[in-house]
Amino acid sequence: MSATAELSGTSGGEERELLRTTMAALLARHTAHAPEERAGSTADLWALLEESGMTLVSVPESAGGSGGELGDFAALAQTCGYHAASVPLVETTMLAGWALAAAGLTVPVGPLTVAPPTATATAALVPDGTGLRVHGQLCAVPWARATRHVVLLIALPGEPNGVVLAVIDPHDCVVEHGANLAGEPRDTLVLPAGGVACARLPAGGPDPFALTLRGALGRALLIVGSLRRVLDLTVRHAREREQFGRPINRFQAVQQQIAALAGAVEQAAAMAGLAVAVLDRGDAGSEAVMAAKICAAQAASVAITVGHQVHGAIGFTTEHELHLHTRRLMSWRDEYGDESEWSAELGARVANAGPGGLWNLLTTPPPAEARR
Amino acid sequence: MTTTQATVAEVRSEVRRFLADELAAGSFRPSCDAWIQGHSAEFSRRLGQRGWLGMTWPRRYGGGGRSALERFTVIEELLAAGAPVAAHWIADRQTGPLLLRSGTEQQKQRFLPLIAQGRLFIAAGMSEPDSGSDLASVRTRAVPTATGWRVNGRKVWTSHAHRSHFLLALVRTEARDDDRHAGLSQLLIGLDSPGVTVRTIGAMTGESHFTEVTLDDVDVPAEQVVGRAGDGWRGVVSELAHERSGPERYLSTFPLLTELVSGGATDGETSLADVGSATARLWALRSLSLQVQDLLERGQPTDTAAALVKDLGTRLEGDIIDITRRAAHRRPGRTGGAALSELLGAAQLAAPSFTLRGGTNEILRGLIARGLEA
Repeated sequence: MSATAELSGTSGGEERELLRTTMAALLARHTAHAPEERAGSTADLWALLEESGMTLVSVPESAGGSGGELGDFAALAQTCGYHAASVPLVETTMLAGWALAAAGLTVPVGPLTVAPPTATATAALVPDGTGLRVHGQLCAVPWARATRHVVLLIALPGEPNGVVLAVIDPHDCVVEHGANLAGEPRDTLVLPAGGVACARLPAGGPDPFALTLRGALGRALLIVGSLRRVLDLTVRHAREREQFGRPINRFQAVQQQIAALAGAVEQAAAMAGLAVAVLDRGDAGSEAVMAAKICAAQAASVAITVGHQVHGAIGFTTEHELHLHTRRLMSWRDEYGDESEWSAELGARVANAGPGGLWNLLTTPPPAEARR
Repeated sequence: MTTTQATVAEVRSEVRRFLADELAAGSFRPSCDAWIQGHSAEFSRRLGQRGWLGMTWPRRYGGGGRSALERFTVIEELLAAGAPVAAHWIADRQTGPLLLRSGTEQQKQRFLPLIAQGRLFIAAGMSEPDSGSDLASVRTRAVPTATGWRVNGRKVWTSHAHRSHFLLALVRTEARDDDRHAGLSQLLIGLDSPGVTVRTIGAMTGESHFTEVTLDDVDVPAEQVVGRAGDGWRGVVSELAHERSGPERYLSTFPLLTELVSGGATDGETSLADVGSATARLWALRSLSLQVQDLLERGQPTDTAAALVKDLGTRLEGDIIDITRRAAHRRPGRTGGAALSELLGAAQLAAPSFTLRGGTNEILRGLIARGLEA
C-alpha cells in the first residue's frame, strides 16, 4: 500500500496487517467495478463490513464492540481512505462508538454518526422539568441519512465539566440533504418540535473537545489513506504516460513534484501514526492530534496540486479515479478544524509551555520508545 | 537491542543536566548550525568522558555498547541545545560506523577508542571542485606504491580539516569507464602527512569551517585503506544514509525556534500559527527520522527514506528562519533581545548551505522519485 516501501510496515504487528489486508480485499472487491458510484449508496458495503466484523474495532467489548486498539482501527480507516470507501466507518467506530462506550452505554448495531461540535451551534438546550432537551437543528452532520442514530455531545453552559449526551434517531427528524465537495452526505437535521431528551453524563466521560480531537484524527487517518492512493496513482501514471518520446517520470520537473508529494505523504503518515500511538497509550494526546491534522491537511494540498498536475487532463475527468480522492482531500482537510485553526491552537500551547516546553513536547514520550 | 523507555528517559535527563551545567559555566552559547560551525575540542573531550561519543560501538573498541536509540537521544539533545559538536561530528557519525563495518581489526583498535574519547577528529574528504553532488566524478587519484598508495588531487568543502587529524578521502584507484561507481576507494590520510596542504575558505557566515585540502604526492600506508580497494562506493552510500536522516537535518535552527517561543515574540495570531505548523512538521520529522534509524539498525535499505528526511528537514530548517523573521518583524521594537537577533542573523547567513550539504535537495528528489519506482 505504501509507495515508499522502505517506510511501510513500520507500525503494527501481524494481526493488524491481517486486518488491513482483509479490509483492503473487501473494499477492492466492492469498489473495483464502479468507481464513479462510490459517492452514492453505502448500504451494501456497510452490510459487508458489518458481516466481516470490521465496524466496531477498537470499541471495548464491554460496550458491545470488537475490542482492539485504536491503532487497529487506524489501519482500517486508512484503508477506507485508500479505497475512497463511502461508509461512515470513522463516525460509527471512532466517534459515536467511542462516545457511547465512554459514557458507559452500549453501542447499537448499524451505522452511526455524531453531530460534530460545530454542528451544534444552531441547537439549544432547554430545561425540561429535572432534565434537559435539545431543540433546533444540527448542521452538516456526516452521513446522517445513512445512519440509525446520531450521537450528540454538548457542554453545559456555565458548568466547566458538565456534558450532556443525546442519541437521536434521524427518522424522527427532518433530514435536509447536504454534501461536501466529494458528495459525501453532510445533512442538516431539523430536530422534532418537542426537542430530544438529553442525559447528563457523569464526570470523566466523553466531552465535545475530545470528540473534536478524535474527529480531527479520524479525518487525518482517512486523508493519509487517500494520500497514499494519490501517490500510487501518480507514480503509476508518470511511469506509463509518455510525452516527447519518454515516460514523464524521466523528466526532472516531474520527479521534483513526485518527491515533494512523497515527502508530504510520509510526514503526514508519521504524525498520524504517532498521534494514534499516543492515544493508545492512554494519553490525551491533544497536541499530537493537532499536529497530525496539520500535517495531513498540508499534505492534502500538496497531493491535490501535484496529483492533478502530473496526471494532466485525464485526472480532471470523472472517468479517472483521481477525483474521488482529491475531492475528498479538499473536504477532509477542512473538516474538524483546518490546518490554520489547529496551527494557531498548537502554537499557542507551545508558547504557553515556556522555555523548554516545545522540546519537551516533541520528546515526551518519544514514539519509538513506545514501540519497543 | 531493546531499550526501555526508562533508560532513554534517564539518558535524556543526564544530558540535560550536563548541558545546564555547561551553560551555567559559560562553556558555550546556544547557536544555530552548531553541528557544522560549533567546533570545540574541549567540549568534544568532555562528551567523550561522559561516554557520549562512539556510544553504540563495542566496548572492546572503547565504545559504550549502548543502543542506537540512546545515541539518538544524546545527539538530539545536544543539537536542540545548540551545543558545539562539530569537532567530533564526522568521526562519530560516519567514520566510526564505517570502520566498524568495513575496517580491519587493526584500524578498529587504532582509531575507534581515540574517536570515542573525543581526541581524534576526522574530516570528510568527499567533494571536489568539480564534483558537487556527483561524487562518483571525483578525480583525486591514488596509485599503488611498494608500501601503499600515492595520492594526488584536491578536496574542497571539507569541514574543519585544519582542526582535524585525519581526512577520510574518496579517491579513484582505478579508472573505470563502464561503471563510474567502481574503482573508488576510501583512504584515511593523516593531515600532518608530507604533501598535504590545508587552506581555509571563508564562508559568508563570517567563519571558516570550509577548507580546501591539496594532496600532492601524499604517501598513504596500505593499512589505511578502509574496506577493499576499489570498493569504496559502497561505504560512501552507507555513510550517506547516516548523514542524511539524522536529527541534524531538522534541528539546525531549532535553537532559534526555542528562543522565539520563549522570547515572547509569538503574540500575534499569524506567528502562533507559524509556530504551530513548524511544531507539527518537526514532530513528524522526528518520527520519520527515528523510523529510519530503526531501519538502519536492522540493516534495511534506507536510501529513499533518508533522502526524504533530508529534503523535508532542511526545508523546515529554512522555514523556521522565515517564521522567526516574520514574528520579529511584526514587533520590531521587541524582538526578544540580543540572543534572538544574533541567532536569527547567524541562521540566515548559514541557511543557503542547508539544502546543499549532504547532496543538493534537487538531486535527492530525483533519487526519491526513482526510489518510488523500485
